[in-house]
Amino acid sequence: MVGLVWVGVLMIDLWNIEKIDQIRDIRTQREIFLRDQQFWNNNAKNISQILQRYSSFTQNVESLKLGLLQLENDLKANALSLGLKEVKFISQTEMAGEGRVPIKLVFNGTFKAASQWLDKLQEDLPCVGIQNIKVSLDPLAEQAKFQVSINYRYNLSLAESAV
Amino acid sequence: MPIRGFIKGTDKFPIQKCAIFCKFKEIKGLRGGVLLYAAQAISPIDAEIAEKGHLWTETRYLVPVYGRTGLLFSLRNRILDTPKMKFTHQNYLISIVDDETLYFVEINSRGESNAVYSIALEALFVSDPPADTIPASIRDRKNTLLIVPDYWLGNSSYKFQSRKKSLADAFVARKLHEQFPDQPEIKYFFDGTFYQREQTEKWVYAYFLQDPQFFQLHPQLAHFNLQPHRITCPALIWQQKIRQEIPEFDSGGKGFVQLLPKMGLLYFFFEGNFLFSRKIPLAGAQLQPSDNYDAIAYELNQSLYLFSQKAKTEIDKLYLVSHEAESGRALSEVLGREIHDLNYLINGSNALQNSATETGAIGFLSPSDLLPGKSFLSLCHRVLKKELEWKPVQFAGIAVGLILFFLLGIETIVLHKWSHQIQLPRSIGGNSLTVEESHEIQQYNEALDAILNELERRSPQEVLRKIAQSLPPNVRIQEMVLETEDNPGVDLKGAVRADDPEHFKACLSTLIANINENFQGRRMMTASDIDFEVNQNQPSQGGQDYLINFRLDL
Repeated sequence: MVGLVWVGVLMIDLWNIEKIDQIRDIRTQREIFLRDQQFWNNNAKNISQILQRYSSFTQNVESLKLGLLQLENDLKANALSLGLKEVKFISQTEMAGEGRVPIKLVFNGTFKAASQWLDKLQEDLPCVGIQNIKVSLDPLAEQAKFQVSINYRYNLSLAESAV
Repeated sequence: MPIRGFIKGTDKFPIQKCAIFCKFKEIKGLRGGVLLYAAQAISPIDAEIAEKGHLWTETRYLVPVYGRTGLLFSLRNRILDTPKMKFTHQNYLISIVDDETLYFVEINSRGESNAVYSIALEALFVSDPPADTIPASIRDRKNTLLIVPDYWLGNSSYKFQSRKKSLADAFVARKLHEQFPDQPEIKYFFDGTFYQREQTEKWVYAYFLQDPQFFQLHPQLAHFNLQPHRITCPALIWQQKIRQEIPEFDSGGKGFVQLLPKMGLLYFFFEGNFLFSRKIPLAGAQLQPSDNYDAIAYELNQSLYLFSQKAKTEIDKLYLVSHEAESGRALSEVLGREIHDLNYLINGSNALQNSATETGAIGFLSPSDLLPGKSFLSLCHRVLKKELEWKPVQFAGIAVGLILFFLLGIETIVLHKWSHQIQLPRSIGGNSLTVEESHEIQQYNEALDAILNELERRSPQEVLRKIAQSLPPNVRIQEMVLETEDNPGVDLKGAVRADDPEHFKACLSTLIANINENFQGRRMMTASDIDFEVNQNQPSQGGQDYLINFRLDL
């Protein structure tokens, strides 16, 4: 009898705890929703700008190969326009992660030209993130040799693929 | 004709035929208006009832009797023409074994008793007794007390130094097992109390049920769910009753005589503990009272001798309760020693006047002495005792559980109503967000983190420019690795051309000062952060080359 009563107490207690959790979840959801709504009403314009900028961090491509081809073309064009020489584009697709491909760029040039190229890269291609830069200077040579490791962030766009 | 003659050979008394008993009221010639027992001597009336009512067929069954006072003691006789007692207080069922018969009596807190049923032990001691052996009105009731004859209880005293009950119980159980190897059930029916002799000697007084009839009776009572909660005998009840009144009762040997009209009961106590008793049938009105006193005195002297053998001491005081006021003086003269009158113990008790005309199992004890709250030595089946001990805990557990259940139930109702009042976000009306908008807000946090990370990161081209600006003219970079993501920093290897160590030192100071100026917001660089060595392979013209190497954490 005692056991029965206490089992009943325990069950009703557990049921109440479950109910309290449910109510708390609903209240949390409700609170989040209301705050989101308020936030959206006040910052809709800023949110869209932020999201737009964030979306520029990845490039929508129809296929990875096409994306890499376009990137190589853009990078080389920029480099050559700034007087950088012996530009090599080495994509390391075997080390690719999800939506991300490491690429190694090798070129020769002056510090100034390299710096300008990096400026242009950051401005025109936000989908490229610089990992590291190795600079070697031969005492006899006038120019430095640069090895730049970058991450190319892409997003396979199915809609565009279908088109 | 004695009523037993009618009772013998009967089988069953149909309780439902209560109307039959109305005849008793109609019988003329009965005396007394309170508790009227039909004495065995009034045989014509019994015969009349037996013939007209056909009541007694096999076993002895009693007409439900209602008495204002006193217990059944004369339940072997029937009560006739007594008004039914209306119990306004809680009724307790007790059972009494006397003269090979089991009686069931109802008592209440006002000291009223009502004998409800009796059955011969012989009729009860059958294997698998039929369900109607005990009437349904009694079955499954709480049997608060079972009073057994004194001789059903045994007692022993053991020297035992410890005062731990558990140790004493184990000790007594072992002793009883040795003493009564044929009664394995005895281990469930014993108890003990501690007492001290001669200031230093510690003893345990063990009392136990020893009569084989009890071990037949108890399972049958349990079979009908009438397991007694307490088991005692009249001697133990008197022991407590006298002890409460007479403080010196607990020391030395004491005798107690209970003089009933047809019976004398002798009880002997040592150090306040019951030792043995004697039951002496008396001749009643047929002989002179002095003959009864002689008989009592004779038996008393015999018992005193037995007592002195058992207790190794003499009885120092004798007490008496009697139905006759002069008994104390008369018996004292016959016995030649003082007897202390304890009639005041029973004065005012209605038991006296009833027992004065009848003899019985518990003599002058009144129903109020047998109520559940009364304190006297008693036994209980050890398993049942444990169950009863745990009952308050169980009750408390149930009570607390039910209170909690009730409170939690209220909480459940409140929560249920509350949960209905709180609407889910989807169901909130008005200018609510669309799914896309909600999704964009979810993405917003992620986007913001990514953008902030990007902004916080030092721009590599800026780092390159600042490094170039920081280098003094005579410092030439040989190799430089700039990490921007996982562990941002610059590893630089270069060469410094200096005229002498002082010049080299000055160059390093300039380099450090420039770096600290250009890269602010990080740990200040010191000379110890730069490792260097002299370049031994260079041609010795135009100064000395020093190879430097350092890491600059960003």
